[in-house]
Amino acid sequence: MYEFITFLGDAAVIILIFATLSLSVNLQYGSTGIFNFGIVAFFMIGAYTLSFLELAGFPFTLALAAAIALSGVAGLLISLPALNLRGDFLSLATFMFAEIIRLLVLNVPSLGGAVGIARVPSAFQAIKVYSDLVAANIVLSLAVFLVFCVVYWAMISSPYGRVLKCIRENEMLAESLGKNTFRYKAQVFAIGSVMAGTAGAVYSQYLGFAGTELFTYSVTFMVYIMSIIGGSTTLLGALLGSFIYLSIQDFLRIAKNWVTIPVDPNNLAFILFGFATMLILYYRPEGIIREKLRQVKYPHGNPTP
Amino acid sequence: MGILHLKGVSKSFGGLAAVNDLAIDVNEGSMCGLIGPNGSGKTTLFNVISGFHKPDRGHVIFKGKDITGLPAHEIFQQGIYRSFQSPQIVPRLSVLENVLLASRGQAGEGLLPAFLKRKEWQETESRFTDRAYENLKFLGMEKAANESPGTLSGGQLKLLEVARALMSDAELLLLDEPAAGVNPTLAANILDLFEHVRKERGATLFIIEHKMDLLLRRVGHVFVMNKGSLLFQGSPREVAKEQSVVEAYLGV
Repeated sequence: MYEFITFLGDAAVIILIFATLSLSVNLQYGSTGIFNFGIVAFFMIGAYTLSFLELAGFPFTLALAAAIALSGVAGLLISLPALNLRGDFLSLATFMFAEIIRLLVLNVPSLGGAVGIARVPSAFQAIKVYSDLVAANIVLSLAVFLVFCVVYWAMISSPYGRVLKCIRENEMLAESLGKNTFRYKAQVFAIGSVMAGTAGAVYSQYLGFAGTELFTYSVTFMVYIMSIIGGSTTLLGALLGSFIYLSIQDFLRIAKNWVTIPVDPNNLAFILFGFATMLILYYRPEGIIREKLRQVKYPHGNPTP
Repeated sequence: MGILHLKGVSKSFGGLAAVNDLAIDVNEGSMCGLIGPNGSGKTTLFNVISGFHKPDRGHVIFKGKDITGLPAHEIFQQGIYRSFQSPQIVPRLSVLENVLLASRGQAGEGLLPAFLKRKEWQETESRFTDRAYENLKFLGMEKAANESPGTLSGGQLKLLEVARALMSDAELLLLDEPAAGVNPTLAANILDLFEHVRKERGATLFIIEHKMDLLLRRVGHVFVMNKGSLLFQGSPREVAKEQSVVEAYLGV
């Protein structure tokens, strides 16, 4: 029973971390239409920054702050040239960026190289009991997710969010109505990168490890699949997508101990979800939880001048 | 000098001179027409004025200020609204919010105010919402306010552009075929609505339109373009009589 509860707790931490990543996709792709296919790069920058700084002796909070700052700055710097590209080219450029970063780290031993960075100190070094450590990490990852939920909600529910949706669907119209579309996209890109970077920082301190094999392009695909299945335009969609994806993946990993699965369970998850994504995109492109049109009641209280 | 003044504006695409050394003066508070055969450069001219194209040569002067080459969003901020030939919508925003997008001075459209000045922008928002709703009601579209603009008919989409123009409080409206593709009665109505905007708000109208009978009856001054150049300008009466205009249109 004890093992089972810590197993569930561990799953919850990972689900919350990936829900944060998925929320970053929802902000960029779902709400603004920015096809950032290099989201794993910012996840990785957050994880490595935290790992290096913690190992250098900095406390967790400082290392986390640096991870947030660096991923945000990296996002902003990449977005400035990249956002001039249109749709497909932007996704290619960001995809390449993520691979370049990963290959760079893989081939430079002082950045960790192929071995990665081991023994990253946990944020909760005082806690020695494993189940308590998991519980503390649930609180941490939940807090991070909730903070970004508030950020996402404040952006989307305001006139700012209305402009984002206009950019998503009709950039020319937004520009003709006085919206500086480039600035909006750069801001969204930077904030999305901060979300991914923070998720990465929490991830590496939880695993106690950062290595290039954790940050391949398949993470980007996985997070996009979560976002699309759950609902790429809503807050709950990010959480639901992460929950569905990871619980089915875990289920397959357990199931392989009892039944014979012809392929590796991770690959089977990819096959199944590839198929599910196709069906969702075809029959319900906005995902399970859909965005509703905002309904306005009239009169609003203030008389028309 | 009028509210809008163009000096020697040229714009080429490859070897094609879409607009060639054009000089135009639009008087403040007037309603001007811009006509010419298809491909004569009317829309390109609007794109140059509204910042979607950078002119190769020449100057665009609005209210005495040189606005040549400014990006489109800044041109809107200067007080110029432009509509497009095909109605532009955001399908996943309600009709009302599609109108609200054209409002000017909503602080909540900035990132920091969206977070920090919530109370302030909510007040502005409710004021703007009332105004947008009144505009829709004025156009007989209040029932569709909370629907997606994807459900609107072709005529209503044209009216949506009128609602946006009203919302924008612009001093100069560049209207690219505001009455194209709708029945003659509605077409006349739409032009009358814009005439109403001009009288009520003192806005200046610059209209591209192919429905000649409707246009010539309303405007004070007409510019005729052909092959990128200004062929003729004058009162509607003069234009109707001018032989070169008739030839350009009929191709004889």
